[in-house]
Amino acid sequence: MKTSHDVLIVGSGASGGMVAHTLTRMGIKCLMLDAGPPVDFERHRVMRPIYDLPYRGFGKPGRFPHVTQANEFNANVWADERENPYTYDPHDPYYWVRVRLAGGKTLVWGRASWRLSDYEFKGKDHDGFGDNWPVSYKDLAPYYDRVEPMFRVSGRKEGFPQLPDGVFLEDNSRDSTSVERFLAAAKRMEVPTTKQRRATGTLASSINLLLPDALATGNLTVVPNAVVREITADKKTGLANGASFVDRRSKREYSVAARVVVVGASTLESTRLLLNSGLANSSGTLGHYLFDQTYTKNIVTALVPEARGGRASRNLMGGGGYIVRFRNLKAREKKFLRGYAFDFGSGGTPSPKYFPLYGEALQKEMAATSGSAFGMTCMGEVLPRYENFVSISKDVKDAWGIPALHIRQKYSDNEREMVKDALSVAEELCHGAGFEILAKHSQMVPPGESIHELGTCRMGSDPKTSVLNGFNQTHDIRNLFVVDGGAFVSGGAQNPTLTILSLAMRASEYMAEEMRKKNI
Amino acid sequence: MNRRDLFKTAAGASAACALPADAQDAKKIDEAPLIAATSPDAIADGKVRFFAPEEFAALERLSDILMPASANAPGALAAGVAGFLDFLLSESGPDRQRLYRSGVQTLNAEARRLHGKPFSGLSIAEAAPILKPLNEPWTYAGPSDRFSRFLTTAKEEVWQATQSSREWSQAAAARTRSAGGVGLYWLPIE
Repeated sequence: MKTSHDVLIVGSGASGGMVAHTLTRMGIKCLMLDAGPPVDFERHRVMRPIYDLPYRGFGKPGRFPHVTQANEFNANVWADERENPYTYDPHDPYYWVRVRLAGGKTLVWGRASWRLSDYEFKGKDHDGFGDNWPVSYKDLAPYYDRVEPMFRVSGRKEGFPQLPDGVFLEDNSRDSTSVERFLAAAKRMEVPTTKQRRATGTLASSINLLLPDALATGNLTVVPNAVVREITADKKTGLANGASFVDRRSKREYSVAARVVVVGASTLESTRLLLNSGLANSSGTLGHYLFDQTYTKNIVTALVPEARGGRASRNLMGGGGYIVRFRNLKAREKKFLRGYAFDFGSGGTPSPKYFPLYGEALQKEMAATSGSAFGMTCMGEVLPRYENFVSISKDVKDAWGIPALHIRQKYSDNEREMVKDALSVAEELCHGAGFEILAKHSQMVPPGESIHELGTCRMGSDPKTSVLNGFNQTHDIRNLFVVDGGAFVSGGAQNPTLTILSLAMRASEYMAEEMRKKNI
Repeated sequence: MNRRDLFKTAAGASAACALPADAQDAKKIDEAPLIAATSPDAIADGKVRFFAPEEFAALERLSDILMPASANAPGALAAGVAGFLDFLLSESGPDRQRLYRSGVQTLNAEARRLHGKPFSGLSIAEAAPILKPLNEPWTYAGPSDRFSRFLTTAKEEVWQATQSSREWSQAAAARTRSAGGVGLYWLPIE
């Protein structure tokens, strides 16, 4: 047996990367396994005209039935669905979107970086539904403070209790006239708005912001193409003692030993790994309370009339912002709990599908409306429910013989009523701004498509109803941690990555201290 | 030219003449130039595999009506859209194939019913009553009847396939300074 490692980290994305970054800088030696290959941006990406792609940008038919984000340019980024199958009830489709490259989804994420508030951490105290997190905003605030500068998050301070301010690269950029009109309409309706909060830079990924510093300490070994089959445990002590994995390319089997095991393989992969390992589930809740965020793309598409006919100037069009959750803060809505948020943007040309025209008439209208679009997209909180869960498929295995997941998630009336309300607000805002609504709808994408899957390995104070404690440590096995979105108890409408990063940093510092005290 | 230069030149010329032919070829052996390549679309017509001849002719006429050439840009005909869609459909799943095949067959059936000739022979005005579903307002769910769904699908895809064609890109490059349609392509990562 080769050397046993201090800490084994499964996954090199946001959570695994942050654990490596934190622990190695504290002198702890880490071995990181990632299922995917390393990415070389120089070798693996080329500029190419769309007409030179075999399918002219349409993509090979049927290659990614569940990845609407895939296009022919980026098709080789997404995890192959045939090698990595999963199952669901055909009446309740689930779109599981994965990246199996070193760096994970941090290679392609949208960068939206929002803090959660105690409306999320203590949601049960607020409205009686579900469970509170075992941590509060004040526990995590110091970690948000440290993560935001690492990821160069830009934003504007507003003082909203439901969306705490951060340590920002201050964004006081001027708004275009169309955005100013929209913001004025929002103000009249008492709907709060702010600038986008985003990690900036050409790349905001684990592979440029976390792993290089970790590697520079000399305390990190990264092994890509390592598909972890199971976490192993000592039969006598019950403690985790390493993992077995298979080389993605050769399918040769390996085992590795470690004092502490940290799983950050992304929400559903981490839970799948624990289920396949038969570990950490005395509560019976492992796999349960799967949720994500409702995602209603282009809930409203409008036109700015003054921008028609080639008058879409930079002064009039461009830019955008964010509408912060405003429902169910003080007043209680009758038809739904919790709330939603919008991204909005000015500029671009609407899709030809929205116009009831064709041929020369359509071409004239497209030319006339070029650059005059205004769009809104809505994301909302999904209530975590025990009956939305993942389990191990009886029949289906992946290309390495590892049993696949069966995924069950359905949206409820709470989500549907929330989105209907969101549509009504979006329409009123656009009318108030003097825009012409071209298209509107209240259809959420299928569960999973938001790529914000959360839960299934949730935190809690009670080991009977949760898998992890407030430091991402499994209740059952004190040297086993799960640090990704699986730990979430609730998710709000805010994109989760900033919170995942912050929790992972906090868990790592706790872990290091426990190791120092020899508790693990 | 002074005497030094003359000697230098004479020496160089002598040296060059003294190199055997092998050594001149040796330089090429050490090089690995990137060969300028042309894709098949630019020099050849794709074979029609999915549609029967009359069906294909209907799709060509439809694509020309949906996306005609304009003063500044090629239309779907010049962009070879029907041939491209034929190829795309030959690789698509059965639902999509049924949608398109039944769609073009309906085009021909309606054209014969109304005008006594196949769809490929219709003028824009003659085709208008058949294409009326395209004047319905957009809904998220889309039309419920198959023919209308075929028309709305074809409208979007003809538009997209035209704008992602070589001909469209070349016309755009002639008009503007931007390199339209060029994107960052991820190669397969082993």
